[in-house]
Amino acid sequence: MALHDYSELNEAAEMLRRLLGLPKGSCQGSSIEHSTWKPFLIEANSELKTIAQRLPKLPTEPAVSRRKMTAQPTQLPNAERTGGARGLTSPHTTKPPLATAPLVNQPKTEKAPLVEPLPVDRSIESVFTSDRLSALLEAMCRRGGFNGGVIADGSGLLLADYNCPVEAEAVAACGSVLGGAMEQAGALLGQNEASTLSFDINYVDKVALHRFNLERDSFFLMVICPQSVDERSEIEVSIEQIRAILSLKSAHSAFSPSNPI
Amino acid sequence: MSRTITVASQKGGVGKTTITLNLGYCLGRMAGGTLLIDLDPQGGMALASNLRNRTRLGLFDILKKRAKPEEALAEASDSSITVLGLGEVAPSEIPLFEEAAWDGSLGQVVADMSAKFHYILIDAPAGIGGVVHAALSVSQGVLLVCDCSALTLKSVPVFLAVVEHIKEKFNPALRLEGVLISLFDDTSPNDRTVLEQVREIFPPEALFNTLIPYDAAFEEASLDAAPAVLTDTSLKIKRLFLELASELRERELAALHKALATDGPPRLF
Ligand SMILES: Nc1ncnc2c1ncn2[C@@H]1O[C@H](COP(=O)(O)OP(=O)(O)OP(=O)(O)O)[C@@H](O)[C@H]1O
Ligand SMILES: [Mg+2]
Repeated sequence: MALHDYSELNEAAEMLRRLLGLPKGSCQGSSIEHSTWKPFLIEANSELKTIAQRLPKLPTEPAVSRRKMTAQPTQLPNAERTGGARGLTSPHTTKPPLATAPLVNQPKTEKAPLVEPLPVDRSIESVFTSDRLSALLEAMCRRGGFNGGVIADGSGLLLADYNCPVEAEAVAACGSVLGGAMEQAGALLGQNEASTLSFDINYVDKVALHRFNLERDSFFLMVICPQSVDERSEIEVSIEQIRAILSLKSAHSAFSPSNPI
Repeated sequence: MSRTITVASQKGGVGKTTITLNLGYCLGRMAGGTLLIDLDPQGGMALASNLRNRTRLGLFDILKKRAKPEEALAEASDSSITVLGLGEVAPSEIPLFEEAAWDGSLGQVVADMSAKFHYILIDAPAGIGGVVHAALSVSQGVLLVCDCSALTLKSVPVFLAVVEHIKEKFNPALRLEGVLISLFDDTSPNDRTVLEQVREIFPPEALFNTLIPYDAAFEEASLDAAPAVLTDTSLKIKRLFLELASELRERELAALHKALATDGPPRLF
C-alpha cells in the first residue's frame, strides 16, 4: 500500500520541525540533503569534530611523565622490543612482573569497572569509550611524535581517531583491507603471527598498521608518522591501553541461553 | 550527566524492543553505565534478553516496595548493560500499574535510577497510553520507531502531538532524538517508495540516517533470547547498531552545540 496522500507526512514534517526548533519549511526546506543517503558519520564528521573541539574541556592535567606511564602495569609481558630513540623501555624503567601485567585479564572482582582507569592524560575523566580512545590516541601521538592515528574494528568500522590528515573512515576501512592482505601474506610466508604492516605514503610520512586481537575480535591501530620515527614500542604500550579500554569480554557469554544474564 | 531515552512507537511490533536491546548493548559497550528498562507489560525485553532466567523481580516490585532496586536490577554477565524488567504484574494489579503511571510514581522509580547510569533506554509499550506518558515525562529524549507501512507513517502526527504536549506541559527537557526507520525491506517497492517520500518530506535532522533493515537474523536471535548483535556472526548487525549508537551520540553533540550557540558560552558559575 503506497501513500497516496502526503498530507499526514507533511503534517508530521511540520511538527518535527517545530519539535526540533527548525524554521518552518516547504517540502525541501532543510539544510541537509538526503539525496545520497550517506552515513551520518561520514557526512557530518568534520563538522562534529569542530563541535567536539568547541565543547567545554576539562582542565588538562600536566602530561603524565613517561616514567610514570611505564611504571603502570599496562605493558605487554612479551613486549621485548625496546624500540629506537623513542623506546619507552628506557634504562630507568623496570618492567612490571608478569603476574601484574595485563589489565584486561585480571579476574573480575565483585564490582570491577567495565573500563579500567587509564594512565593517560585527560582520558581518565571521560566516560565514553570512544572519547577515551581518542584521548589515548592524542596522548600516544604526543609522546611518540606521530601525526595522527585511528582505531578501527576488524570490519573497518571507525572506533576513534585523532588528527587524521585524510578521512578517518577511509583510513579505518583501509585497516580491514590491509589487515586481510597482511594475513594472507603472512600465511604465504608461514608467519601467521604477522601483525604489523608499515608503508610509506610519500617521501616523509608512513602509515603503520597494527592488528591485535581481543578475545575473538580483531582490531586495528593505525598511525601516521614521519618515516624517521620508530613507532613500535609506543604502539605496543598503546595497544595494551586500548585493550583495557575496550575490555571486551567473550561476546557470546553475555546473554546466550547457556550462560544467562 | 545521565540521559533517559524512551524508545516508542504508535504502532506495535515495529521493532522497539529489538532496537532497545541491541542499541542499548552497543551503547553499553561504547559508553558503559547503560540501563535498559522494560515498561511493556508484555515483558518483551525480559524475554528477548533472557532476563527471566536471572530474576522475575522488576520495576513494579520496586514500586510496590516488594523489592529493593538492587534486587531487581540485573547486570549482564559481560557487564555491558543492566536490565530492569517490569516484574510480575498480577491481573488484579493492572489497574494499580496504570494508576502508578498517571500519578507519577512509576516515573519516579525510573527517575531515581538516573544517578547510577549514563544512559537509560526505556522500552515503551506501543501507543500513547499512560505508561508511555509516564516514560516521556521523565525522559530527556524520545526515539520514535516506524516501519514503512503507510498506516504507521500516517499515525506519526498523532504521536508527535503527544510528545509536543508532554514537552509543553510536563517536561520541557524532552527532545526528539529522531525517527528511526525499522523493518525496512529493500526488495519491497512499497518500502522503497515510502522511504523516498519520507526522506523528501521530513526534515533530514529528524530522521536517523541509520536504517534498520528487515533481517531474519533478528527473529532467530529472539528465539535464542539474545541480542542479534551477539548472535549474528556476519558482523553486519553489530556494525549497524554500533553505527546507530554513534549516530545517537553525534546527535547529542549536535544538540549540545546548538544549545551552546543559543545560550551563549558555557559558564561555570
Ligand atoms: N529488523 C527486523 N527484521 C526482522 N525481524 C525483526 C526486526 N526487528 C524486530 N523483528 C522481529 O519482529 C518481532 C517484533 O519485534 P519487537 O518485539 O522488537 O517489536 P516491538 O515494537 O517491541 O513490539 P511491541 O509493540 O509488541 O512491543 C520480533 O519477533 C522480532 O524478532
Ligand atoms: Mg516491545
